[in-house]
Amino acid sequence: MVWQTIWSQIIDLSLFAVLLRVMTPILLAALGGLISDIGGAINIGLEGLMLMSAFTSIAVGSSTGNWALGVLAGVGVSVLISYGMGFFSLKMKVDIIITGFAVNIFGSGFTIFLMSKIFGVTGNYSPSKAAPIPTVNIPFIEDVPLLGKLLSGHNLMVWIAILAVVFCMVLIYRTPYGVHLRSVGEAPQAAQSLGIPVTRIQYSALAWSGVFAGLAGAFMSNGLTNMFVKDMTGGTGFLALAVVLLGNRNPIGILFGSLIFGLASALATIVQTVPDAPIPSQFIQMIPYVVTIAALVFFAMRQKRKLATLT
Amino acid sequence: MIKGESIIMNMKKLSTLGVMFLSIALILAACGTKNNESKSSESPAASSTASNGSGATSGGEINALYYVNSTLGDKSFFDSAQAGMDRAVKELGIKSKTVEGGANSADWASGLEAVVASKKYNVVVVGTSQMIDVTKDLAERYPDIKFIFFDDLIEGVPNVYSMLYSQSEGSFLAGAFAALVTTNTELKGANPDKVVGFVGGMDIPIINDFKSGYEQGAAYVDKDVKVVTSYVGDFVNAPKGKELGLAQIDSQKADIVFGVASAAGLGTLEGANERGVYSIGVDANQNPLYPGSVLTSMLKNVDQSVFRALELLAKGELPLGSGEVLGIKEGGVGLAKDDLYEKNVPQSIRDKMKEIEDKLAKGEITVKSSL
Repeated sequence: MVWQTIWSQIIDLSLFAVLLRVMTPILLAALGGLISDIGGAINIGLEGLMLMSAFTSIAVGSSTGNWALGVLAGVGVSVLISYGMGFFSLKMKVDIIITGFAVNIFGSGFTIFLMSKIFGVTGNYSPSKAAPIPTVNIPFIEDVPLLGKLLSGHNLMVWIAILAVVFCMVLIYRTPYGVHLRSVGEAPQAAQSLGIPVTRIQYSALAWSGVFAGLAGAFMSNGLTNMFVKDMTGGTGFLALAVVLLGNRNPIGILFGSLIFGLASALATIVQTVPDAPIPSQFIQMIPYVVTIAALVFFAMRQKRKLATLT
Repeated sequence: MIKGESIIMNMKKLSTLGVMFLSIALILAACGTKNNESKSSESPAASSTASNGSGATSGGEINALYYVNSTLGDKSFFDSAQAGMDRAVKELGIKSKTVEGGANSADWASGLEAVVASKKYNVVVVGTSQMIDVTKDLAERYPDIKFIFFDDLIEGVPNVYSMLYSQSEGSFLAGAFAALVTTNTELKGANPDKVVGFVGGMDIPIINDFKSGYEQGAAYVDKDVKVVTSYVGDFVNAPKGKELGLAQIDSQKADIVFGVASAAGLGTLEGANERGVYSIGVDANQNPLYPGSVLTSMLKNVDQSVFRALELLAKGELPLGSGEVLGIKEGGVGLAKDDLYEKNVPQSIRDKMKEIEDKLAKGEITVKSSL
């Protein structure tokens, strides 16, 4: 019964659609985490940035009736807070981990505060006329049986996330900025001695992480759902940090890491809904995390073997 | 807060002073993030301090304190209890005061003790299972103060009356309703498959009590109705709540889902609305969220029950020392029947629901609780 359901979901590609939806916020946030990590200013405040962006984008989006403005506002706020993080950690020399924690706590509390001050509601805000991020239906292709479901009918943000992977590849490995970024992260003193503006590069790395976390947050409130619920990111920002490591700190690896986690989550969702499933629900809910740990162990072992053959 | 402090100063107990200072420190610390702590909304009647330390309620007037172990404004539980208090002030002429404890659960025990120890109030209204131990402890140490406790049971303490809302009976109604919808042919969104959905917050006893009632209700209407269950894993992840709802609708052909997952359940309702099928809300009247898709909501009538308890207390008939489970008969739980319900639910289903409610009230149907 369970296998039958999963199989039918794979056949009609609805599993694929769920996978893409689940994967997108993790992928975007992880790319943000990646750039700050490579720049040596690891941003653990992704969760807080996503929450702030999620709230801002739905608030602006629904009041202006324009999703693009909403997303821009969300990303803007997220970048602004990232700069604030930079100010405290790079200028005032506060430990960056502590700054990140502060942003997470701030994001959770401040969104609740704003929600009650602006909209007079607590817990959740669902606007009556929302402006969701549109889905992309590709003409002609959407009518082709298999290809249509594979390529058409996905949210715009899914495409942006996939393009962002390419963008990060180019940015990190094919531009002078990327070389500077990596050198700053590897050996800041050495970079400094070559005249690379270390602080400025780290500021920009944090800003990039703000951009991607902002996109991820905006997608959660304005694409996946059309509401803001307090703490709605539910740990996605922390998961993204794990995916950065799982992806071996490069964009393609992160894409695969998010795919693995997304697939496991999508499977868990479908398995859960099978009536009279013989597996306790707690075990099903563990699947994504168990798969992630297994993947981490697998990649770590392969890495070790690779190193062993080199020496 | 300054006023409260000066009153405490006059008290003899140094220990109370210590507790108060600690709680003030904690509250102030908590103020850093959210400045809505311990804001006391005072009803006009309570402004004159009644200092009858006797605490005798029989014949004497009721001076009640409602302690919110969170903040007001949740549009659900705590606001509902406040509505009951307000009604009691208006109709029974009691005095009441509300103290909000804030989000930090570490403040609640000391916060409640501080107001209880002031002996300004002879009745304390407090609720939710998180407050059981605190209330028990205080009730034993302050035997001349009466406690009205809602949303869980405390038994065997002579000055505590507690009431629990029978979520299994309420969910029985929801389940019967869902089964009637899925077998209905008039409703556009209903498909021929006899499958109804349940999205719970977590796999925990209280949520499973909802589930058990829901299943019994569905089976009462039609033995063949299948209930599909999923759990979000928390109560906030709305995107996941939506994803689970969509999976139930798309892959299991459910045409009505019952979301019992607090904020995450809102995602479930949104998913049902997007697919053009139906849903049942919970806790508050969620019918207006997606009119025509959210057909009804299962409510715990906290306001009515608090008022009822205070009314009984005023008459001297409140069975202190015992706990009661409030079901359909006592008006403790029920479905939200507003204009939208009248408009969107076919007459045949509404009639059948009324019949089932009557049977439940008369005790012709008994619902088993899984707790």
